[in-house]
Amino acid sequence: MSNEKEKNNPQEPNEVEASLETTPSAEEKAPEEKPKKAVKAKKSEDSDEVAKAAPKKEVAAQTTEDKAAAPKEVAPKKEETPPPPEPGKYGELLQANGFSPTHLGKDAKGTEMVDIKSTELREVSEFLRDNSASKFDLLVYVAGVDWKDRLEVVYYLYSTQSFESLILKATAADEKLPSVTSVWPTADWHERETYDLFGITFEGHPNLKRILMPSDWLGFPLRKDYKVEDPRLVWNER
Amino acid sequence: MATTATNIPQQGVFLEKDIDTNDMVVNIGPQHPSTHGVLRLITTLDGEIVKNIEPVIGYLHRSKEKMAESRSLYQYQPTIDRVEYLSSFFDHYAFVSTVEAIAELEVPKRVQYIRMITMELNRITSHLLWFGTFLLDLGASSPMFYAFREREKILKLFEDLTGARMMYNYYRFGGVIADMPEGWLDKVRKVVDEFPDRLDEYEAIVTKNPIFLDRTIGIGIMSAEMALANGVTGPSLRASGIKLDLRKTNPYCSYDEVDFDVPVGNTGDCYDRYRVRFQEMRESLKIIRQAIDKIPGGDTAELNKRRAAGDETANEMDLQIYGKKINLITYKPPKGEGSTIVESPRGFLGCYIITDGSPKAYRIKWRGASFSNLSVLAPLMKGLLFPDLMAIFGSIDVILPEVDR
Amino acid sequence: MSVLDNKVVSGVVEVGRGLATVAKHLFRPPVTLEYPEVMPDLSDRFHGRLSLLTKSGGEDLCIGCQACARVCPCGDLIQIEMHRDEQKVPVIDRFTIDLGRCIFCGNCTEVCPVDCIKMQDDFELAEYSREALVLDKYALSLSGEESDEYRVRHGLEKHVE
Ligand code: SF4
Ligand code: SF4
Repeated sequence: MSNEKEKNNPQEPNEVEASLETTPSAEEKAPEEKPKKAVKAKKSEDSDEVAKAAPKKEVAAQTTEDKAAAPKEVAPKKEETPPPPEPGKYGELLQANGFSPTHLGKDAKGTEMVDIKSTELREVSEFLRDNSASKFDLLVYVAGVDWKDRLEVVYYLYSTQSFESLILKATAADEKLPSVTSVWPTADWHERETYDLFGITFEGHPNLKRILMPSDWLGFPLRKDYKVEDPRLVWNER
Repeated sequence: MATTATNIPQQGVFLEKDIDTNDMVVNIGPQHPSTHGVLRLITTLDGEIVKNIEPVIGYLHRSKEKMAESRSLYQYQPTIDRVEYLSSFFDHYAFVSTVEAIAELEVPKRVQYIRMITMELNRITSHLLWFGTFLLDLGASSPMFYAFREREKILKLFEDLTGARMMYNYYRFGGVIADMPEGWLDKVRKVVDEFPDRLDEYEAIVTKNPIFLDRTIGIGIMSAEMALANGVTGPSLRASGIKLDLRKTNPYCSYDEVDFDVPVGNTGDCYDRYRVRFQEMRESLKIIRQAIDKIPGGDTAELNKRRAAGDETANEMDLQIYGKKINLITYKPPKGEGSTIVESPRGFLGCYIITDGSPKAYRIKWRGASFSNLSVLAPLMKGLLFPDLMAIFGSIDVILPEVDR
Repeated sequence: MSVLDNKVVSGVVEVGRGLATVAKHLFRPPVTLEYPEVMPDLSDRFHGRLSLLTKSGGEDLCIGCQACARVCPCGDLIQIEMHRDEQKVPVIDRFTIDLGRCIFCGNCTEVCPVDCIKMQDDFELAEYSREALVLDKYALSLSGEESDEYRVRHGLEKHVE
């Protein structure tokens, strides 16, 4: 059911960060600004509520914020400009072998992240799989990410020799990337899934068609600007 | 019969030479009792021999990744249970531990042990259900009732702990929702103590049964290379002889503090996959037993008594059930990204989260172990006999909701 | 030939062993329940039908803070309308829960600041229509005595007056 709802109420891309409600509608947009000035909201609470003109959700936002103000430590840390990430072990290995990776530091779990040029993707993959210093013989997953201005594909590699992992990132210029199915056959389904949900074409893939969505689905659901335009789905609207 | 099946040369050469047969396309599913969910297999047959098989998935696609875009992390959490409903503690662990890593939340030791006990119990229930249905696929019906009987006892434990039998929603960022009920550990110990007898009982019925042996030994041999290339992980990979278990190789939670073995097979046939899973249940029991003995603070009743008596040491960090109490309604993890893989009963379960400082995640990616495990079916079945299809499919233990997410 | 002999012999033995195990179960007490007559023994934390606790005198305990509605994963299935009277005491005008869409996750019960919305161990919720599953405040509220009993059973004594 929630599935249908999502198709009906696609989110505007710029609402995504702000909204906490499940189904954004016009009246619910107001409180979304509130969390940022939680403390101020506390003072104006009473007058707002007596006025009652405020939509009911707004009242909710304030009272819960009021409550939330006590454990202040939940506030997100302000971001300082991070120092340029240190090159990791595998980033250096790639650099030493004539590739041009961009070091992205480590993720929260300590896994090294490397950004590589999409043109080099297949060579890098082959190198990482066959080189004795890396031996990444297991592709765990392929994930697409829509950064609004570009589409990125994340490859999570795991080595059954050294038990280490590595995250490769590649930007899909023109929504295209070379396929790595020839390097890791398991990429077949994972790339199909990424194509299905993000519309990234993997060149050289043997059988690139939709896998999770119906084959006649329109659009790519996990893109941030996705809207259902399929006229056959209007019956969903209640 | 399966005995003759092993004697037929691979690829069925003599059939093709002698008789001029047309290929036949058989459609299995989407609604088929043996597919454990909704899976369609388009099978091209040459006589009895499978020439090609094309799994069609997506019937259970519930857009779990899209749902994360419109929900705060806490709102999203209950829906994770539905990604993989037979072992949802693992999904919760993957999710919660990623967020904890991004937000650098500290997790008390007691919580880690509770998580470890629940996850291992969950592994047993999952393997038990697999055991029952796998034998049902092979035509044996009583093991299923036995497996469900034992599973029921563990589900009852879960119900006491979390209030739900399958959709637990129990882990929280930096802790768990509530401490164990008083006396819960004793109940666990009781179940764990009587379980080995039950396992012996199953083995008496199944493990040496000649019909079962004929239908599994030498059937569906998956080489280690094929398994790795196709991304197969978990017990199915270990049955092929690769000793890869994230609990051992990349310990998370408190798995480095308990002692257990990683069972491996050698040939990679259906029988090995059966044996590895069976052995894994015994190893899980081992882990649970150690965890019960080692859990900081012991049973809740004891801890409560100490607290009531004003014992200050009973309030230290490691005995809490929350590292830091956060306000769940407005919780905003800092900006960052993290990726966790955990060893679920079916293999690597991955969760990749990107947060952008808002209450929602910018992107959540689930890597279901079954997704990759299912993709090996096509190369594996090529040239094998059609009657073995369900035995092989059952033995790789695929759960469809996790495939489609 | 001897291989076959062995196989037959071992086969018969093993099948016999299996059957003996099955036969043993004939003499064990059953583990199943005769459900409608015998109710299962449910735990205190069971996720069942949602209900609203009231104060000991039967007045509303809910303060209309909307926390439960905000954390519910299923959208707008909890709907609350409230206003404040002259003494700024919250008055709940409408409180409905659509149990047909509830997934019984327990999020709402966890965040309620006054422990008002709670789950009962009642799981027989079948109805003839979807509308009948939308419960209003009167259907959800427990009486004062029932609430007190619930609070005592679950150790929530802080709101007993
Ligand atoms: S139990 Fe979960 S789904 Fe049901 S009303 Fe509460 S938060 Fe919503
Ligand atoms: S969280 Fe509790 S007090 Fe607040 S509106 Fe819901 S039931 Fe009422």
